[in-house]
Amino acid sequence: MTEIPDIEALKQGDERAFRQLIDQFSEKVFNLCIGILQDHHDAEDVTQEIFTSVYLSVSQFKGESRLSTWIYRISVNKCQEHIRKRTRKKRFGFLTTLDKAEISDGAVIKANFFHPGVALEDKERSAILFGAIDQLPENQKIAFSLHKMEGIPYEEIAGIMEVSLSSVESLIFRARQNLKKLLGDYYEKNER
Amino acid sequence: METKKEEWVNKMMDSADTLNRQPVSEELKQRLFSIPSEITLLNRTIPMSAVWLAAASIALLIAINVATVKRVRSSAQPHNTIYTEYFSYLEQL
Repeated sequence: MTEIPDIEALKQGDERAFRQLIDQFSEKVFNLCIGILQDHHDAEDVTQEIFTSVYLSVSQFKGESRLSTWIYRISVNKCQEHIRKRTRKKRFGFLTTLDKAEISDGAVIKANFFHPGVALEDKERSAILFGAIDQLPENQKIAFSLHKMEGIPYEEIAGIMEVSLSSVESLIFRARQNLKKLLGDYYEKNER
Repeated sequence: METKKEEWVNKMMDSADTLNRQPVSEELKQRLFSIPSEITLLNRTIPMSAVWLAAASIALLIAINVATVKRVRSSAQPHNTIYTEYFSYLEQL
């Protein structure tokens, strides 16, 4: 069983406490990054960035939220930053906006991400689902990933994303609706 | 009754439930464990005293420059005085 890291020791820069923190949270953070970024190598790099940020800013942690909420909040921010950097690189002119509020009409699912944690027989199926998740607006994608893949309750997601509980409910509801629409369209084009 | 399409969509939606957590590779764990020493090394490479010394030197340099420019401006003759002196020979013509 992993020990609970001593926050005061972390604030003093204690390496042993930091190791405990890594043991306890690295897998959670890494898996969240894989789910959101859909790239194994990017997920590794961003996980390193997240823990560097945690190490440097833990002295500012006031204990107003749970440590896990605070770490997930940093993780979500770093993933968003990374997505924006990636989008900026891909962007040509004004054709793509950085923050889309809804899925664009005629969005096409690119089933090219094979999650390493999926059983072989489910690989194709989950690639289609991840392709659909990737088409979701950023906030819906994050809320859905936190809830569906990490199993985080709505209340904690509200704390992580710094929004109200009803906003989280609405984001996840709309994410489901959009996913159903995207998958339905995919079925019409490819599976029928 | 659920149509074939709805059944397929629901099956897809449920496929996220069977995800297994990916373990963190040993290489990544080592990278994470080395964060404190790397930050300490960075701090050691550039000591804070050196950073402050550099900042103070730049500030001093700027202050000297500003003071010099001010002094030169206040001691310089007005532009039209030089101009009239230079062309004073024209008045004799």
